[in-house]
Amino acid sequence: MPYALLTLLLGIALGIGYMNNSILPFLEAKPHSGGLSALIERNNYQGDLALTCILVALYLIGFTKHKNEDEFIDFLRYQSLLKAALFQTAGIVIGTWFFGGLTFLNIMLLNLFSFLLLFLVFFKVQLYTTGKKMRK
Amino acid sequence: MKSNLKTIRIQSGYTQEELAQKVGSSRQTVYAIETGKFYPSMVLGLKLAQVLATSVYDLFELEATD
Repeated sequence: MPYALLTLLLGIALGIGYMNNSILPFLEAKPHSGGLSALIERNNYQGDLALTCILVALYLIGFTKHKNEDEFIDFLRYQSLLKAALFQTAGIVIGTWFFGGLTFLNIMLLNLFSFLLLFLVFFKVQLYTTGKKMRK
Repeated sequence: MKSNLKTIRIQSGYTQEELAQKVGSSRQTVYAIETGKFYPSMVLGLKLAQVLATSVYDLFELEATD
């Protein structure tokens, strides 16, 4: 878990840097000379690295075995996945109908993380509330 | 499905934590079964019955809506 959190922080830092055009020198890309490689042409690899770090970290935080991993935890995971899928789909549908242009693109960008984020939130909240009720 | 786990557990003198340890599960799971929030798998149901020296039919009852 600490490694996952560190990876998440690294991803967020790289992402913020990417959005503010503060690109680390060793992540600058050399320009391609046309051809098929032009399809994936980019100025740097910082955005790719940031996205990878964030997604991998969120996956690890969400799916790393819990200390009391058993069938009830599996059940909570399953329920959280269902809810996350529902909310993400609803978000995309609403975004499609009510937003356009750059705002819609931003919503789609957020959707890259939203499924894992929603899953993580639902799962942790369910775990916390069950634990809290149990202690009462 | 109605769960009689809490009554039988208390009669047998186990705490939630002790029972959970005996069946290789967590206290949260035992609590969730007792409150009807979660239905255990057949394996866990049989383990609970074994530890509590009872039958799964005593631990769990089908209701009219099931």
